Amino acid sequence: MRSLLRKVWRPLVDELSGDRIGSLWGIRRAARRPAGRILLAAHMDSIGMLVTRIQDGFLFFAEIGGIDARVLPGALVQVHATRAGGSTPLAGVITSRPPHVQTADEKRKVTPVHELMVDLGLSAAQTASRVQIGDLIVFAQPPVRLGSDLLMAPALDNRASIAALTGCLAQLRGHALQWDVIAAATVQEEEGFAGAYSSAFAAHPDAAIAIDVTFGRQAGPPEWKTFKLGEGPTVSFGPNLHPQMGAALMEVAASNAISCPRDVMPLHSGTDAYAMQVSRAGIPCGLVSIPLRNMHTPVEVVALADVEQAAQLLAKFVLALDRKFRARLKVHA
Amino acid sequence: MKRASATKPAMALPALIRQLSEAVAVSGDEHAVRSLVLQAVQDSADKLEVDALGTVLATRTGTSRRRERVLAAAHMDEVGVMIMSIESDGLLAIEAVGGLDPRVLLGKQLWVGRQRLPGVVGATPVHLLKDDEEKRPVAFDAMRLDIGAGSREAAAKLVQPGDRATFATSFRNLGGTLRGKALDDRVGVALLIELFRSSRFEFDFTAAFTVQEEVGLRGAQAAAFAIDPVAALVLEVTPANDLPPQPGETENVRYNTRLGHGAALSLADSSTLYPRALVQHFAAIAVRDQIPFQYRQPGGGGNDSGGIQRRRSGIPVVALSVPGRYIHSPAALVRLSDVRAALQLARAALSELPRRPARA
Amino acid sequence: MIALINRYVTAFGPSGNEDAVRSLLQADLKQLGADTQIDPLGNLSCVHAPGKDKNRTRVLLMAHMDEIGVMVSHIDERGFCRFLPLGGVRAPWCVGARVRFGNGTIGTIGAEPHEASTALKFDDLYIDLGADDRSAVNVAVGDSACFDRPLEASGQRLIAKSLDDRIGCVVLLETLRRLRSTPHSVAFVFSVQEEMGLRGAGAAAFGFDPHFGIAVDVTRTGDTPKARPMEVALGKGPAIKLRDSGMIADPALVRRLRAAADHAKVAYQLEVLEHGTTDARAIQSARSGVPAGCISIPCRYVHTPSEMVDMRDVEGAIRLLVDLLGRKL
Repeated sequence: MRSLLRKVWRPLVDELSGDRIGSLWGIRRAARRPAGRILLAAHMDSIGMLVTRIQDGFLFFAEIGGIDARVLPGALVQVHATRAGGSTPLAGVITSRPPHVQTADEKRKVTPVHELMVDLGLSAAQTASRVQIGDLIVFAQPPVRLGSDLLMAPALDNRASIAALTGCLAQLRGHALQWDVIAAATVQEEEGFAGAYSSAFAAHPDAAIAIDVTFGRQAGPPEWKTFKLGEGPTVSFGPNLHPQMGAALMEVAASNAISCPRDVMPLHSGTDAYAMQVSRAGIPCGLVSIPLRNMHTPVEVVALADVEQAAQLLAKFVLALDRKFRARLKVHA
Repeated sequence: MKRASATKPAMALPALIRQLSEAVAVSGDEHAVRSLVLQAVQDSADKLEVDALGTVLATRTGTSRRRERVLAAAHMDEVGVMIMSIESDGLLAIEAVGGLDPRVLLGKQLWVGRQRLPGVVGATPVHLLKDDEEKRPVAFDAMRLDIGAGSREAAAKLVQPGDRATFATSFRNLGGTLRGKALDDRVGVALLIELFRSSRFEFDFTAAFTVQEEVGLRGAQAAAFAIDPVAALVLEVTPANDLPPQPGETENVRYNTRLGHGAALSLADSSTLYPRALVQHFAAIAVRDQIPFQYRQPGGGGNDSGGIQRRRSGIPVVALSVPGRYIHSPAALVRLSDVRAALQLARAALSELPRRPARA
Repeated sequence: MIALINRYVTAFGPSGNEDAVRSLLQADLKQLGADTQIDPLGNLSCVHAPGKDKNRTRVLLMAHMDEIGVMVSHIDERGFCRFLPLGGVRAPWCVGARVRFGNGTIGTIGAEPHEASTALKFDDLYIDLGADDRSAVNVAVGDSACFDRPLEASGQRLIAKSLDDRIGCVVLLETLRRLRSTPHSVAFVFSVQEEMGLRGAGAAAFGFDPHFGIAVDVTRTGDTPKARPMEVALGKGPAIKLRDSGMIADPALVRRLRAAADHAKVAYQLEVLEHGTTDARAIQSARSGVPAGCISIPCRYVHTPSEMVDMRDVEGAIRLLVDLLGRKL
C-alpha cells in the first residue's frame, strides 16, 4: 500500500516523508513563510487476519482490527505466504461445514474465529513449506461496480478515504497554497490510532482533518444512525471535533455546492481525530466521512460520487485557508 | 440426433467443469446448465429429450439385443437464493432455495438473475450491534441483497421477485485442487457428460441430467419412472469433512469422506440403504483395476438415489461420489485425481454390470 | 407356534439386510406349496389364487421382514465403533443393550459420561466389541447389527426382540397355512425397509396393483403405568386400525374387517394411533390409490429389545384374516 501511494503521490507533492512507525506523508509547502500547517490524515490500514498456527495443512488465524466473525465462513481469501522468501499470494477459503453434517445446536451459533481455518487446497507438506506464522490474510473479493454509481470492495474502509485524499492532492496541483499541507496516510488506526498519534506529534500542525468512513444506509441498523449513499460526505460535530473546523467545512461545502450532511457524535469519533485532538498541547480537528455499507466485511460499498465530493471538499477547504483562520480557531463557540 | 461425422474434440475435464461451475442454475431455473449439457451430448445421443420438469434425458442404444435399460443421473441445479420482494429502498428480500446455511451467505457477493448482475448480502457493521448480536447468526429474513439500486423503481428495472441468485465465485484450478461454486453437482454433470460421450454399453444407457435435486430430488423421481431401468447410478459430490479434530477430540470421527482418497462409494445415507451386491460389484472392480476408492461414512445427507430407488417396482441404485469440502458454500474444493478416479470406476463397473444387478 | 415365532424373532434382519429372514420365509412358503418371487428391492411375495378364475379381486397382505438396528459409521483407533440408528431406535434405550452382527459378532453399547441420560444422543454412544484395537475388530464400516435378546414366554405373553414385525410375518404364514379356499387372488408380501420409512411397501404395491391392501403390524398399548392414553390393551384381541399418523383406514374395509371378526367370533379392539404408521400408508398411495387398512397386534415396549405381545391377540388376528379372505370382499 505504502509503495503504491508513494508512486501515486510523488508527482502531486513537493516532498515525500513519514513518521517513525510507517505512516506516509506527502507534503505541499505554502508559497510564503510563515504559514500555518494543516494535517490531512486518512488511515491506510484495513482489517485483516494473520496466521497463528498451521495444522495438517490448515491455517488457524487471528483478526487484526474488528472482524465480524459472522461473515467469515465460506469467504475467499488470499494468504501472503512468506516462508519461501518474498511474498507469494496463495488462494484460500475459510472453512464452513455443510448443513447436512451439522447438529441443530451447531447451526444456531456463529463459529468463533479461533475455530475457523483457511484451506489452501494444498497438501500439508506444500503448505508447511510456503506459509509461516504471522503471514497476512486478506479478503480476495475483487472490486465490483454495483448499479451505476456504487463501488463494492473489501477495505474501502479506509481506502475510499485514501482515494479522496489523493484526489484532493490532485486538485491542489498547480495552485499556490497559503498553508503547508501534510497529507498523511497513517497506520494502525484499526488497532489504536498509533499512526495518528505519531504523525500528529511529528507534524505539529495548527489544525487537522481526519478522513474516514461512516455508516451508510443499509438493512439492519436504525435509519438515524446511517447516511444515504450518494448524498455527499458527512462533516462531524461533537466533543472530539473543533466547532470552527466543522463550521468552516460546512461553509466551504455550501459555497461550492457540495452536499454535506451533518453527523453528530456525542462521544469520540472512533477515528484518527480522536488521537490527533490530544496530541502535544492539543490540535483543533475536523472529520470528513464517506458513507459506507457493510463496514468491516469483504463487501463494503460506497458511492463514487461521495468519494469525489470528499476530495473536492478537502481541496476547496485547503485553498480557502488564510492567515485569519488561525485566529478563528481560538474561538470555541 | 447422432451425426455421422466425427465429433469435435471434447473439452478437457477441468475446462468443462469450469464452464459448468460458473453457470448460474439455481433449483427451478436450470436453463444455463441445460444449454451447456445439450450442446455437449447432442452429437453422441441416439435419443435426446427434455422432460416436463426440464430434465435432459440422453440415450445411447446398447449393443446387445436384450433392450435392458440402465440410468445414470447427475443433477444440474445448485442451492442459492430467490428474490422474494423489492423494498422501497431498492434492497431485495431473499429466501434460500435448497439447503443453504445462512451463515455462509452473510457478507458475500452474488450473481443475480440470468444476467448475472453483481449483488451483495450486507451485514450490519459490528460497531452497531447490540450485546450478543455478534454471536448470533443472522437469519434469512433479516438479510437484504443489494444490487446498488437506490429505489424500488430502479431495482424493478433490473430484477423481479422470483429471480434467483447464487455465489459469485470464479473457478480456479489450484494445481490439481479445483475450487469453485456449485461443484455439487457440476462435477457430477461433467463426469456424466464424459461417461456418456465416451462409452457404449451392452444395455441402453440413459444419462439423466436432473433438475431440482436440491429441493427434494424432484427431477430424479420423474426420470426414474419414465425410464424404469434395471439399475441406476448416481454421480454426486459428497461432503469431505476431513478437517483436523476439534479441540478436545483425538480423532475426527465424522469425516464422511476424505479428499484425495479416491472415488467414494455410498453404503447408506438418510434416504437410501444401497444394495450390497451392487456396491460390492463397484468395489471389486476398483480393487481389480487399482482405482483409488473409499467408502462414504453411513449416515447424513441424501441424493437422487432417494428419488429413484422407490419408483415403480423398485430400482437398485448405487451412488458414486467425488469428495468435496465446503459444498453449499461460496467455494468448494475437490481433487482432480478423485474426479478422474470416479470416471474410470463408473466406466469400468458399468461395462461389466452383472445381469441381475439387485439381487444379493 | 411358539417355536415358529422363535425362529423368526431370533433371525438377523435389520433394515437393508433382510436376507436371513427372507430365506426362512422362502423355505416355509415352499413347504406350503407356494411359489415365491423377489422384486428388485428384495420384497418377497407369493400369490395364492387357487382355481381358474381370472377376474379375481386382488388382495394384498403385507408384513415387514426388517427390524430396527444400528449401522457402524466409524471404527476408532481403540476399536470402539460409532454407529447410526436404522429406524426408530432411541438413544437413551441403547445403553447397555447387546447387539449382534451378521457374522455373529456380539457387542455391547456404551455411552460417554453425560449429566442427563435422557439427553443422550447417538454421537455420545459407541459399540464395544471387546477388541484390543482397530485391527482386532472383525466388523467393517457399513455393517449392520440387530439387538440381541432371546425369546421368553410368560403365560400367554411372549417377550422378544423384533416382534415388530416378525409376529406379523408369522400371522401371514399361518393365515396362508390355514386358508382353505378364497375367491380372491391373495398376495402375501413380506416387505423390506419398513422401519426406514416404508421404503419397500410402495414398490411392492405398485408391482401387484391390488384392489385392497391390508398390513399386519404391531401397535402400542395404553395399559402400562402412566401410559399415554390409548384404548388398545394386551389380551383384548387384535386391533383393527381406524387411523394413525400416516393414514386413515378405508371405512368400507374397516367394516368388512369388523364383520369378519364378528363372524369368526374373534374379540377385537379399535385402534387410533397418534404417532406412528405402517406399510398400509404406502400401499394406500400406490398408483391410483388402494383402499387400505391394517390389523395390529397389540405390543408393549415397541422398539426395545424386549417387546411383549399376547398369544391370544395373535391367534385372533389369524382367525380374522382367514375368515375375511374366505368370503368375497
